[in-house]
Amino acid sequence: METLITNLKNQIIEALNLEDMTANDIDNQAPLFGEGLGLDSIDALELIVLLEREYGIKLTNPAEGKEIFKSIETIADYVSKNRKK
Amino acid sequence: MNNRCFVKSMAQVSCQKPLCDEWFDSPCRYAESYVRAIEPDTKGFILPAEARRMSKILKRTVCTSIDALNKSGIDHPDAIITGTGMGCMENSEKFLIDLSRYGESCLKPTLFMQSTHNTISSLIAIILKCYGYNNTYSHKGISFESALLDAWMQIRSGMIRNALIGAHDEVTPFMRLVMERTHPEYSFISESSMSAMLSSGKDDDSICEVEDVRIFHRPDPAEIASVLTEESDEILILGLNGNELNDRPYAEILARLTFPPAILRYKHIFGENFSSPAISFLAGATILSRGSVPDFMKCNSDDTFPVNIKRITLINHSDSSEWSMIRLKSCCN
Amino acid sequence: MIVVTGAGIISALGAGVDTTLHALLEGRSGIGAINHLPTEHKEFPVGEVAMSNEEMAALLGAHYPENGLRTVLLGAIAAKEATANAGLSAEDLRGAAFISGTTVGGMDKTEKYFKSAFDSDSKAEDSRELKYNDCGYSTELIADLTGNFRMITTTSTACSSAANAIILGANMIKSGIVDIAVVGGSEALTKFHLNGFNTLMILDKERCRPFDRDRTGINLGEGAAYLVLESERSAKARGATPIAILSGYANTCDAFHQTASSDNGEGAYLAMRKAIDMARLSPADIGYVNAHGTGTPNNDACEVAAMERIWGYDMPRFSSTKGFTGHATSAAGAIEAVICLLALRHGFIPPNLGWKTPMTEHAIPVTKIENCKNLRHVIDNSFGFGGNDSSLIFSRYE
Repeated sequence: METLITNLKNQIIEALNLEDMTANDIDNQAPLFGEGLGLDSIDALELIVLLEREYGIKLTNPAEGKEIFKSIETIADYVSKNRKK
Repeated sequence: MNNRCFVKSMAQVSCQKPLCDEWFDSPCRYAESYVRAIEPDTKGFILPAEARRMSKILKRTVCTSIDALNKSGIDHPDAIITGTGMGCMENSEKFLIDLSRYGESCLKPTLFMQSTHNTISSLIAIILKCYGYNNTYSHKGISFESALLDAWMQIRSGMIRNALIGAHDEVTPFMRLVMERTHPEYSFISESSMSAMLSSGKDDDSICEVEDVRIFHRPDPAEIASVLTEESDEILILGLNGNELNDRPYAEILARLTFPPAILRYKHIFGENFSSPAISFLAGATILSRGSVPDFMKCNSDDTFPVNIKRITLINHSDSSEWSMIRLKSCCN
Repeated sequence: MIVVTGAGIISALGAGVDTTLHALLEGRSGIGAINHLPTEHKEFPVGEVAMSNEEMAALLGAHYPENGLRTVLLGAIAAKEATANAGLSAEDLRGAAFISGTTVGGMDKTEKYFKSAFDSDSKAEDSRELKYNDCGYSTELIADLTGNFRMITTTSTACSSAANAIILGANMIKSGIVDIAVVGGSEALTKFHLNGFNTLMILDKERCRPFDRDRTGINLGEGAAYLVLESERSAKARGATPIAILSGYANTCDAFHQTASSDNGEGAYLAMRKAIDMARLSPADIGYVNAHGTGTPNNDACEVAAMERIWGYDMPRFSSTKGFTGHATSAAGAIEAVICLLALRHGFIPPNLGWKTPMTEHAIPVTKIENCKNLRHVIDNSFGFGGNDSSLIFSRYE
């Protein structure tokens, strides 16, 4: 799970172009959207693409993302249960 | 069209030092035939959280637009009108590369969202919260002139009081390769972003007046020559680049003039791309406000140039089929 | 006074103004399965023009190669109809402006040849296929197939491109720069924007349902349409009979987000309001609104919010005709302008196909074709990405 979390953080940093950030800068439980990192609806779409590209998980409804993308921890949890790659 | 139209402020990013007029006194010189722009420092213009999503062209546009806006003292222009010949090429290319590599799945929304040509104009409006007229022109090497014509016409007709205009083009290495293989008439290629605030009000800081703007499609050389007069067009800035294929159409016009104008060129210093005429606009306006001509721009001997510089006329063509003529007038006399 | 003296159109409903009229009167949608676009995503219904490039080139009389750009083929067919319809001579065209809206330009060719041109050991010939695919060159080709214009240019503001071309033409006539302007837009379906819209997850896998409570997105379309605008004086001097008046228009910006509209529809509200003011009308004078109505949850909600700010709950008759043509993006404003002209001339309101369930009590579109012989003023809305919002008002010429 540790490796998955680190990988996820690095993939998110790259996908969302979070320049000047490293995996250490992102707290596992901190909210990603609204406050915290301040991501928005377009970032949510990018995360959906990331899940498909890296882990073979297809989300067809953007609304599903709301719960899944709450924090790094919730994403890692979802990925570990649903990954196809 | 009863009102007049003045330039209140300008800003540029190019292969010359960005957001300043240092190019006028000590221009950077390049031996290469392709040079990318010198990126501006985005601090003070763009928050890091916003910058992460912006490609180079968008960052440059925001910097030149906000710089021109700040210098003008106008917070919410009545219109934002931009020109771009190729749009957001970096993002378009990345999207196309992904399409080629991954096929039609797992493509990135941000790349698509920031690839449409009007991303540039609308980004400025979003930042400024500007609800006024907003338009984008994408017509090869007269994209800037189309934006300028629209703004100039609306200001002169009293439809708007002021407008933030600009023209922005980026040239990626792959684009450069395509240009090299398909456009033998190009010479020194570079990138540029130019923004300017136009206004119907003249004041002490006005840089110059925009007297006339015309666009032509497939004109005879005689047609262009016939609108030039000794009184109004004694100094011309032409889009010469040292390449015969590009320069010959200008010579055909000059051959039909009944008077010998003083000729200036700019592409050897700023390079060229579809938005280059905006740089000729900046150069001409700077000359008028400073009242002197840099030697490195002169094609004729010094004594061809008048002592009092009243007007400068810019003539540029794109592909020899689209032509523009812009007449700028000094505010000093 | 700016009058319309000619119109031309090609869309999923077919080629020509008459064909379009009959499809509207018969309630016959042009939306269906993808046929010509070489995409994997056949699951999306689209409003494709039912002609191959070869067939369109043949219609143009073989002046243009069939392996040429689809946006150009569509545009030339529509522009030639418009100028012929207006009875413009070669001399008239030489004094006129041609303004066309497009966002894709020659992208259909770029995406075909990009991979081979991009490979590191590619040859120069592959690069050459990418040379002329910018927006402006497409406009130039359409213009040169139609006439020898005095000046040409291209607007590129996504879904409001054609509407903004119409606005520029009108302003140029008002300012005295030209007397005649041929204005509109053209857009072909491409993998680039079909996939682009898909990444934003706003395409509907079923027929679109504008203003329906359960709407889920867009059916993309393609096509082209052009109007001939003139000063009334110029039309009279030529002996041309105006079809309608372009009595008001406005271009505003929502200034909110690149791909979503603000909740209170600020840009849309300002566009309609300013157009109504320019036309010196009151909201009650508007007999029909041809809505932008793409079928996305966001657009339709924001457009209704904007309309409520102008009309309260006493909404005028309105419909989205994207259930007929699909969303032809850059060409939509002009295609729907032609539909508005047909509605004015023949006295009918085209229905909002695909609608079943109201989204609110008050926003009920026209769902069956309605006769409306006293229709005098109509609004055509085009709201593009980036908040580029434009509204046009056409009025009966009397």
